Amino acid sequence: MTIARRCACCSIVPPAVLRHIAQTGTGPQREAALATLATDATHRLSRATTQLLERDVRHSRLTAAPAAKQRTIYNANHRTALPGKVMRNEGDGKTKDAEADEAFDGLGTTFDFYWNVYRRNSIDDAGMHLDASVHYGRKYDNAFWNGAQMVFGDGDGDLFNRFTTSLDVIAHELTHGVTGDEVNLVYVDESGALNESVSDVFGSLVKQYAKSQTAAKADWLIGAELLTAKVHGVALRSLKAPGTAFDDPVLGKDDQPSTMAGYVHTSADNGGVHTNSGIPNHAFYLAATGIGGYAWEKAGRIWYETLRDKSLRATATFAQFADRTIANADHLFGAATRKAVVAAWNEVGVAITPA
Amino acid sequence: MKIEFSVDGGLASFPGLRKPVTIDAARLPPPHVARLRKLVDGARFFDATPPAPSAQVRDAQCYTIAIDDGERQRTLQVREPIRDAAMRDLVSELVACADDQRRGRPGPTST
Repeated sequence: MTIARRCACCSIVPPAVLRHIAQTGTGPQREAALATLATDATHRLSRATTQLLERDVRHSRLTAAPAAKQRTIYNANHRTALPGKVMRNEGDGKTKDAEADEAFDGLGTTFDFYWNVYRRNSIDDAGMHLDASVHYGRKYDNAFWNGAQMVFGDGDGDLFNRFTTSLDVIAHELTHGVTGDEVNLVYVDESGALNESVSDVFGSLVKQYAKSQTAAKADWLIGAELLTAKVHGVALRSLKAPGTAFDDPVLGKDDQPSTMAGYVHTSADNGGVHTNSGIPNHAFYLAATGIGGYAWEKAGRIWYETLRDKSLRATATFAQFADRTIANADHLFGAATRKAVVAAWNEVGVAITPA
Repeated sequence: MKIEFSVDGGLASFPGLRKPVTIDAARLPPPHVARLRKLVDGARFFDATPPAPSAQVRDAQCYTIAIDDGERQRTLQVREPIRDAAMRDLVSELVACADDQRRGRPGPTST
């Protein structure tokens, strides 16, 4: 208990090391690390207080000036050294390199979404520079967030198109930065699946916002543009219908569950973070469509404020996250919205705390 | 030389791509075997210590490479981003070999 009450600056084992153990250790090691992180509430409060003080000094939220995006796109030139050579800076014209220009535009659209809708000034709410490297590796079938920037592969051109072609994927990656700046959900098991789900949720919302689509009209697909016509599938994932996005001879069948009855217990993929994210993904879809209108206005606001909720821990379970969304729904929008959020979590089988 | 290769993680979960693939030098043409050996040696596979992954990386892939060279056996987990160019070249080759096997293609596809 003594260790649990120490703040991060005087802990014997730094939180970053604990998170690493939580992701890569043996079963008992992971359990111990998660337990330590869960009880280290003073770290979270201390961090939140520090952030608040820093924001009072320099953040544009308290000024009249609109936030200004600062983007740089780099060319990794088919190698893996990051970031690579500068291709396009803020204010520069198009490069005629499709990947570079798509990444540039996607970063801008995502930035605009967070600022216009939630008054969030970039990833860290302090105007953080947005960096992305394109042409990573050779025929690299992936995109990722390395903790400081986005990285995009070109795809193999056989099963996968270039990874910059999907706005929701660009927003998904950038949102990992937002989550990391806020609650930094530990990237393993349920908290890791929540981390992934938050990125899918806001990835989809950025796309819906760009297209002015209501929740009812949206496709709720992630990465629909990434799969070539050779693939038997429509997207990487579906928030509307988890488990239906693809069924392909090479890629396999989409194994996302939509309810807790299908929760996958596995050691692969950090405890199935890209698999079990289907459950909170579907809960968001149900909440958004149950509430109606534009999903970013109420459901998105509830999820965003939950991400910033000081009661939410980095090791949050689905149930703990659900409880905070319900409380925030009630606080922000009242009983009717709360009811829709409760119904959503009930339908996916997450055990919420009775009122 | 036998190599067991599998990929975990990434932006999406593709069960078909997670299945381990066995690359058996006894079944490959000699030039391909020579190329593989050169890449394994270049990456100093049996001596390398991959850097510890950052806890903040998201959606990156993790490659598990198990090589049995008769005299030496070793299993390494290598995570993106891969900074070492030689290790990167080895991983790229193994990804291409695994791709060929999964799609029933006859030979190496990487350049």
